Amino acid sequence: MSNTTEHGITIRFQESDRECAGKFAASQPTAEKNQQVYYNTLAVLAVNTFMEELRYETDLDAGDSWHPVIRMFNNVADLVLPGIGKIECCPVKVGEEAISLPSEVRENRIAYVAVEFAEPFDKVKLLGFVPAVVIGDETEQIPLSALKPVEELLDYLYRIESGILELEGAIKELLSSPTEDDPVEAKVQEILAGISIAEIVAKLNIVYRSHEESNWGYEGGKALAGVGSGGGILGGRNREDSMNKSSPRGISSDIDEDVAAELNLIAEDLLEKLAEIWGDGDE
Amino acid sequence: MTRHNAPVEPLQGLDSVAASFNLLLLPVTGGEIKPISLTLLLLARYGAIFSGIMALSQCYPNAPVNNELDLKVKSLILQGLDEAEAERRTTIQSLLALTDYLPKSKTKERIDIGLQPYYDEAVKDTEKYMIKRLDKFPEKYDLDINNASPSEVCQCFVRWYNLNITRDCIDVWRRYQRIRFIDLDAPSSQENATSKEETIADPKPQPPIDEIEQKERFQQLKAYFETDPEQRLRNCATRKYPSCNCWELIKRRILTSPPQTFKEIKQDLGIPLDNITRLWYNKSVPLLAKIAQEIGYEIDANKLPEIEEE
Repeated sequence: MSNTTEHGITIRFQESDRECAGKFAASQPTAEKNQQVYYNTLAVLAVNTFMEELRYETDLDAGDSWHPVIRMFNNVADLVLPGIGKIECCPVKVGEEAISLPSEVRENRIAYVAVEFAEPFDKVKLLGFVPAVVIGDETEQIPLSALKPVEELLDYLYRIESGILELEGAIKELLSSPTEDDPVEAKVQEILAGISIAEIVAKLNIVYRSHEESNWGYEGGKALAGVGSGGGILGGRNREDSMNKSSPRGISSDIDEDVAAELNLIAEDLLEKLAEIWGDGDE
Repeated sequence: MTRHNAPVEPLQGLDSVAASFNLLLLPVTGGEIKPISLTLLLLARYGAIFSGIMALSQCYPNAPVNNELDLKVKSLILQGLDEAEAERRTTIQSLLALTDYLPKSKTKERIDIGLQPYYDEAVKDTEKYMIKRLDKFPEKYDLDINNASPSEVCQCFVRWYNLNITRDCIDVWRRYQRIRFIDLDAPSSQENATSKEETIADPKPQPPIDEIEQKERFQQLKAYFETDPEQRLRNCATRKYPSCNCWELIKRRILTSPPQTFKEIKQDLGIPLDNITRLWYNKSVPLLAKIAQEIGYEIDANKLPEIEEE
């Protein structure tokens, strides 16, 4: 276990938390599913308490984990931060060395928080987090050694929150401009419409922190297109390996060069806006 | 860890500090104090807080953090824990004065650059919060303060301070941005828990009350989704892409194991991602809950999401 997990943050449950988890678990069809829902619910409630302490607005009801049917069929423990995105709260038992990511939680998340359970289950420890953008599409586990201290979640969320505020107008404008006669613009709009603003900001945050300003367009364009910097750093398949090598911009084959060029320009423009609020990017 | 990069400012009383280290501060007339300036100023600032602990670390800037600093932090925390909340201000102020010298602590210079303009205002809130919540600090980090090493206590204190100052900076930033935030005075659910005794350990989740009944009802629900007997699910589709209907999405995201991601569905159906996600969140998700309720699942009517029109 890494140093970062040695002193997680302890969250103590209230009786109402356990009642809620028990109620959700009781309507599951099998004992195995019963346990899964019980721990998932408590994990969400623990992170919810933590986020409330940090004065973040949360919406439990908006999560799949609070939906009676979705939690019955899927293995989900998501917590919605309105206007920002979803955090997946991943239960882990003492002694385990990684958190598991079922396929249903590998999209539409901004971060994964590891929540450690130990008997007598009156409290849990938040071990740390991983930003979702470093998870590849096929990452099934995150080793605990890869976790960042949970305190840094605040810095990460601030980046996303401030970035959303900064870019919201520009992205809405991009998505609303007419594209009937321009297939390139139409394709760009389709790509951007498929990503939430929070995801766009999170992807650009990685580019901002990892690349020189001279590469912002190229790397940012790739991130928006869903290849390269925006995902897959931690485990899983490196999608860049499978992209069309003949493409001069290194973008996958289903995105033509004009679309890639346009995405590069958009990414560069958005990153320049973010640089104004994020400063020089030094940690 | 080193503290050689800690920010410093000259302090009054430099002469006496210099004298205590047998250094001559007075410059040649018209000259500057450059030859000894930085080191001496560092010494002065530290010396003003507690004398004598800086000499070694300044001679060896890469040396491990001085144990005396950790000891000082630990003793101040213990002192604060012994004090009543109303008497704790001076102790917390002394702790906050040390944060500039603690490795990895978020000083004004080290906090996210976007938050720096709000730091001075936020640190007042942080002080108040730490006075009020110092009692919760050991529990939050699962620390047995009396028996923990000073370095361990100090590391946890830095993490706690970083969390609090960042949260308060974001709060002030939000105030200036005039965006929504939760009432600062509203206690969180955890803060309402006054003692360990309030929470009763419950070792394991209880099995379903009536497992057979739960299984039967689940099978009924599953069968409904599989067959869509009233064609409610397949008739719920986007106008532009009839093949993208609620039934199709439910089969792929609920009945398939592992469920398909939106990206995979997009690739299979050749439909833009936002059309798929809109149909899912606006129509399919509410419909799932409604059908479950009709089959007999207890669902709070207030929590049933409304099905939005396309």
